[in-house]
Amino acid sequence: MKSRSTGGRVELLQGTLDLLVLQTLVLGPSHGHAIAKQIQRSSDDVLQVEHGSLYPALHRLERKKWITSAWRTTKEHARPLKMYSLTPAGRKQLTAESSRWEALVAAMARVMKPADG
Amino acid sequence: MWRWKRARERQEDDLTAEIQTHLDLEEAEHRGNGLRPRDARVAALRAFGNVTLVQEHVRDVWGWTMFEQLVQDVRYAARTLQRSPGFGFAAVLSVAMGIGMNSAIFSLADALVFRPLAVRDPHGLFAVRSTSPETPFSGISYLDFKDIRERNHSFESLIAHRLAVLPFAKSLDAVPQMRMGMKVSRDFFQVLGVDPILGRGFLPEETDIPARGAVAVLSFGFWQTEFGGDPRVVGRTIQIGQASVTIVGVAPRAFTGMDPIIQPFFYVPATLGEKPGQTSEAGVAASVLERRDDLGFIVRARLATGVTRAQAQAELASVTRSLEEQYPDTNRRRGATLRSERELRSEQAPALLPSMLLLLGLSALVLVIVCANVANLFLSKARARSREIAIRLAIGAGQFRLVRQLLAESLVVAVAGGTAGVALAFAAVRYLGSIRIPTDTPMVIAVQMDGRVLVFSGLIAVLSAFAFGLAPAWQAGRADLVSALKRTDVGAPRRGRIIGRQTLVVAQIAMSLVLLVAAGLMLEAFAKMVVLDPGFRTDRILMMEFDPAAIGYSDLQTREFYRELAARAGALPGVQSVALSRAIPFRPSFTDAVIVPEGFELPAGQDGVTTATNTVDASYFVTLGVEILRGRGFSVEDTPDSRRTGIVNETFAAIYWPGRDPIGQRFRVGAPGPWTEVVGLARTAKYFNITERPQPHVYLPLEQHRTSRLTLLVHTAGDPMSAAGPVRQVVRGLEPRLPIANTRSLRTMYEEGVLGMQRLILQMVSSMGLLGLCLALVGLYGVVTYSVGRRMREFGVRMAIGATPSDILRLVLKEATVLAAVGVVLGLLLSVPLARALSAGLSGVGSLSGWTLILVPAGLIIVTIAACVGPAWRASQVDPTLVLRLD
Repeated sequence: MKSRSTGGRVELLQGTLDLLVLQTLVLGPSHGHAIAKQIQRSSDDVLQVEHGSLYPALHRLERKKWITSAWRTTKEHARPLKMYSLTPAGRKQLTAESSRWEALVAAMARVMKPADG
Repeated sequence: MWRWKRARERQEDDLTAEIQTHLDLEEAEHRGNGLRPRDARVAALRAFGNVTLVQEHVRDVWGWTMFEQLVQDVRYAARTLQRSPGFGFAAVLSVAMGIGMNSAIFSLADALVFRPLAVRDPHGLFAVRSTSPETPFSGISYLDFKDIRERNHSFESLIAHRLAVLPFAKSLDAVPQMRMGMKVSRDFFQVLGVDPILGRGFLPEETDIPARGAVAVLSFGFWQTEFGGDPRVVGRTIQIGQASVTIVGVAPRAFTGMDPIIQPFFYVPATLGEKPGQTSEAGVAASVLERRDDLGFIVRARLATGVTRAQAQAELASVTRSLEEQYPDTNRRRGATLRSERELRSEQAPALLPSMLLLLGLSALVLVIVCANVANLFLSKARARSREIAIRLAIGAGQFRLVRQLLAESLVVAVAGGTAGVALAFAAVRYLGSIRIPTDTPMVIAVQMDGRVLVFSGLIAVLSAFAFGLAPAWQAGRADLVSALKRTDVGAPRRGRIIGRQTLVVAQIAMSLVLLVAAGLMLEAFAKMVVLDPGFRTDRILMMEFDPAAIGYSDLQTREFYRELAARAGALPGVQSVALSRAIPFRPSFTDAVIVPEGFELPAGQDGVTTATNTVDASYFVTLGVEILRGRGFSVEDTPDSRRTGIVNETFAAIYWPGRDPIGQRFRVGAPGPWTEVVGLARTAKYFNITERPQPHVYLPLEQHRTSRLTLLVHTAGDPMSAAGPVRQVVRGLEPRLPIANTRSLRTMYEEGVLGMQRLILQMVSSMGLLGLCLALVGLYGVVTYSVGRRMREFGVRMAIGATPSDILRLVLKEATVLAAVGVVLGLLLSVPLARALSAGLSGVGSLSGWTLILVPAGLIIVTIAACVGPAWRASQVDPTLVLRLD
């Protein structure tokens, strides 16, 4: 597995980034930088996202038509930003993925701590 | 392609801007936290990671478009081919020959058989044919056509047309020439959907009222050649028949008539020159438009909307039944049937489709040989490249991508070869198009490189790319990585590869043998044909054709003219004899008459037997050297007032009066006709085709069966063409206005018209055979050279332990001979069904004969062995010490 711990921060498992991006966009349209910050913030800086790795993920999700993008100007910023937003298909995908994720987490938990089960 | 490129550029700009924005935002954030500008930028970059790598990953997500990959593959393939020009040239040249041959043959077959008429909705156009128990299919009389047009409800429209040779002159005072035109019924151009490019088609009153019918539409070709493409030609007055005719339009270039071969020069209303209401001496209507027994018109029809072919056929049957009741004399047992264009063509020329299919099949064989050859070339190159391919596989090239890469190489070869092939075909087509059938009839084999041929060429190019590209590509994709990389040289060949190449060579030899057997059969047939006796004299005969009625001669004037002509021409110096005949052999101008032989039991439901007849004068048999075996030829005794006489040939006598003396037997011409007495028995000659089986034939005396259109045959002491001038003088002296047609020597007509087509087919088949053989030899040579090169070490060892050079020579030659022998045996097996198809499809081609069966395989084996002598010799000259020291 490609998971390492570096100084209390955890690098992301492959594939989980997509889920995190979708989850972040549930709250509303957002741009790349804000998404990166949001993931870091909501995981209390435990999840370390190398900002660059976000972009292949965004483009992949867009290609799968789970998110769409458009250049837009917002109130906070003077310059136009490429804003990503969730599509209905993406929302469906998120639901499916998160239940699978929860099942995985529960299973992992049972395996790792059998006594608690 | 440009749109795709712009889209890709926009996508790139978009990504750059997006990343830049991200970095700027991050930098601003760090600055807000109090970092200095430079540190802030560095921190932003650190948080982001490797920008170039990120861009690469995003591009991966976008993926290479199919098109981008294709361009890459093709570029790479072109570069690879450039690096080995010898290989590239050999491959492209073979493909060019294969595709050139196929395209040329396809264009010929298309011109003769497949190409639809250049009319609107050609497949919705049916032919209506007249049927009777005696003649299954024939044209329709104009009166029947008009009745069918009026009485039926199944057809949206019906038109009729017929070819007619008419005197034509550009001005009223010029001497007319005989020219092929087409007489057409009302709405001809409208129903066909042919819009004249100049002027207009015919108005209904022009095609219906004879007095208004003096108009013509020119064909595009005639407008170009005769009128220089003059745009002001509409409105001009020309002479057709005896009428001064106004040109009202010019047909478009694509529309060349209603037949794949005969292209009329002009179109005129069917009523042009017809004199309704007049009768001839014999009391029949003079105009073909008023004769229900003149089945000269071809009728075409379009079905009304919602009517099926079966419904139309049923209504047609009921209409013809009512015509039968109404006109029992002419329409007894006469029905009508619908034919599609394709069915019509195969009815009119039944031998054409099978022979074209055979030619196409044979040229497909050449293409198969070509593909085997190119596949072989690719395989040998793949061997040399196996290390390169192994390395590319090792560093992560996908197998699929690699296979596609190699296929792209074949595609490049196929496209280059296809292009060159189309150029070759173009040259061949120009040659084919230059062939003229020697008559004044505008018979043109309208071969052309049109869109249809180009599509065909493109298709077979792509097909062959797959055929010769797949095997090598598949082998490369399966390459055994480890062993290929470990070997220092290309190493000993894997057994499978050599077997693969040997299989290809065996297949090539087998197919060349098939082609050569075909060529041999054709050659034999041709040789037989050349020595075949046509049954009449062909040397020192001049022919010339006239039709005085076309310039308004009455029956009496016509008779006078011919009597004078024969007398004066016969008196010319150097002329031995002259004859007049309605038809001459090998030109389809015999009249099929229904003959009722007395005493012969006709098949049930049949009123007579359809037999080719000719009307000839008394000196015909002497002039053409047709022997009268019993009885007499025609003579002055046979006058219109004497009893009707006829002469039959041996075959006729043998079929209808077996074992009886034909002299004195009687027959009727036409079911209700008068009895005719047989006065002579003629030797059976050839009438339609030099290879035909003996055909029954009936001669009738000209004096009792007058006709206006006759051919004068002049038997000369010397060169027949030298008599042409004097005879022309005689004709001019008698009637300066009379057009003279088909002036040529009978020999020329016979050689070009009868043997020419056969010679052309022979040339084609034998050049295919030779091409196939050359390619197969190149393939065999390559395989032997290659395997000898691989086995030098083995030969060295053999010689070191005592083999002599001649042992080695024998060893190599033996292996080559085995390949050739296997190929020959396979080829012979394949030849059996081919020979059967050939002798069934092409007249005059016999079954497999000893000559072909022995000479062709023996020759093939000798030639293949000869091709291997070079490499075998080199193998035998190997120096064992040198070869063994090499490792």
